[in-house]
Amino acid sequence: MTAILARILARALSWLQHGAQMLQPAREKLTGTLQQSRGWLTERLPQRLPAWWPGPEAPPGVRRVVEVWHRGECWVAVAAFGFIAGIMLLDVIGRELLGPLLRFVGLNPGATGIFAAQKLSVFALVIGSFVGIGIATATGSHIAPRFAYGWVPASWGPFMDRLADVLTGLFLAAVAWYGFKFVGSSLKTDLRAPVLDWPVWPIQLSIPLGFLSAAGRYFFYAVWPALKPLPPEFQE
Amino acid sequence: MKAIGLIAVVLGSLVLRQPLLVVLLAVAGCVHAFWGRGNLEDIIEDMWVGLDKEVILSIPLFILCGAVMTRGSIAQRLIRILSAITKPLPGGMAVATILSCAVFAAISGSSIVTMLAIGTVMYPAMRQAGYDNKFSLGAIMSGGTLGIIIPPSIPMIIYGLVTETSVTDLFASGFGPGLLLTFVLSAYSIWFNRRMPTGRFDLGEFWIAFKEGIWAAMMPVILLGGIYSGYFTATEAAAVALAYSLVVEIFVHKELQAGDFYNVVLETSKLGGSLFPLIAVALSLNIILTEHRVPQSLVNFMQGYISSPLMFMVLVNLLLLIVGCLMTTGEAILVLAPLLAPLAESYGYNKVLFGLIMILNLEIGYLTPPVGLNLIVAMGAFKQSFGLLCRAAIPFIGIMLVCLVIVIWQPWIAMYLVTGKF
Repeated sequence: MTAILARILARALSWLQHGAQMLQPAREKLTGTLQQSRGWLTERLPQRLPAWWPGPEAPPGVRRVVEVWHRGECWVAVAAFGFIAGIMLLDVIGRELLGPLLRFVGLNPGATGIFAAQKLSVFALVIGSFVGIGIATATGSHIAPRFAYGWVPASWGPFMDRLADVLTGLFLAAVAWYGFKFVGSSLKTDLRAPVLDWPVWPIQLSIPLGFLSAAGRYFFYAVWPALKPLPPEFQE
Repeated sequence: MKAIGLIAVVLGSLVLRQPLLVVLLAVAGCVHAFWGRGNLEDIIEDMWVGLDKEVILSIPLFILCGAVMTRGSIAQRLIRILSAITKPLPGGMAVATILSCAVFAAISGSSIVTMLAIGTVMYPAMRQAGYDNKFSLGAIMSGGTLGIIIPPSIPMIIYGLVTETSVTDLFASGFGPGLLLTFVLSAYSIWFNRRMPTGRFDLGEFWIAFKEGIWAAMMPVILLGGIYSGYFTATEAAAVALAYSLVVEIFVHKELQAGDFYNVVLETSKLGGSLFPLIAVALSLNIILTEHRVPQSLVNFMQGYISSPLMFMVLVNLLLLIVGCLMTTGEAILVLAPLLAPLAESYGYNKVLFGLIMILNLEIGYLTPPVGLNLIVAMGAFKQSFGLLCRAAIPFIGIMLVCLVIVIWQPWIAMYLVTGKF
């Protein structure tokens, strides 16, 4: 059995060796072509950035705008998540503690929970979550699979980071566009929340606004990379 | 051809360093454009519908609760009680570390929060008491992973959301494997430190620790008791846990000021901002995949090649162990659970059991390089080299693999509290 396995292994190895030998000329040719193209590009591209191109450091005014923007989003998120915590606590305390207590002393308090607490919490969650896209962008907390970062040469890193920021910004701006279209159709059809009977478009508006805020930030990072936060040590 | 295009989009966006949010949105866009009606507004509508679920509210509440407890002294008080109890055992401090992680895991839903809350107190204490450095690090890192197995668990809630599985059942299924892991890790700690000196049980010391920590010790009792008795739903349990931790930290332990609450909520907002939009996109993707019967097609395709449920389980476990090395738990669940759960069901595995097995696999991923989050966080928190931490984790990974095999072999360990049957 061992001898057969060894023979199969040896045969497989010889095939692999043979395959590698066959591919060698093609590999050499491809490497040569890539080097030639790189040389051609290097000759034609300007070797220095134009004078009007902004440096990595952002002007103080821009930095201030970004900070105020971030602080505003933080307050909205804190209000939203604080609201969820508060209303859910009061609802549970009302239903599980106050209600039974009042019934125990012989009173009939009716419903002791908070009306539509869960629906209101879900709305707050939507607002908090989509404002949070901007906060996560500003604090570098977005989950990003990093295993493919090494698939391009390390020397391309700074260029790739800027390109990535432009692409992310464009992509999120496009998502925001579709978000606005969605909110528009809700507004047109006067879509209302069950239980509360409120129009839902003001809540839905947080979706495109959140994406737009994040897109704006990525554009800022592409222009002034020094504004970009360092990614956290861990992401979960 | 369309499938190749989809793969190219995924690979291209990964090479172009796009966040997972963009990758998932791009995939959802491609699926709509290639196979659907091409109406991209539907993605936003599905995101809106996806977030409109009551159980999702438990995630920010548990994250808030974890943040409150990390700032307060609940962890230290639990450690003091358990250290007093385990003193007579060889390696008592190591056993106290594992038990503290297990008890803290019953309050917190996160691996990293558990590891940091216990580890920052126990690592220096263990080193001072002469415990082996590699062992101490391994015990703390592996103990931390109990945070996502012993309920409440944020990954379990995410799995429940994306696969439409009962979160209460998932929580119930985590209890048995959590106890098994706690027992086996504690037994290993005793065996490894069998030559360490032991102390005498001091009733006075225990009584003082108990008096100071009774409020902290009551928390898992209230939380788990409420969930398992059916008195609370997962969301209500999260609200109660938050209320309890706030009352205890502000009024009893007096460790939290009103001003700290802003920072606690801000931390939650940061985490929520990166997690909830992702969940919304994943749920939107899930809706379109289900509409186009992708999971069913995958089931038919797989059953053409693999007929044995055991073979399926072996392959899925290998896949999840590899994925656990490369992706974080949240990413892996959001991407893979909607596809793998229907497959597992078609091979006769209960969705709850499969979710638990998936999380057990991904729990090991917290200790495996290159994306082992507990390794990465421990590197900063305990100022140790990555290589040393990886070596320290090896025996514990082995133990966790054995426990995983035991749970697959004897599913009642997970399912007894769900079905009531052996």
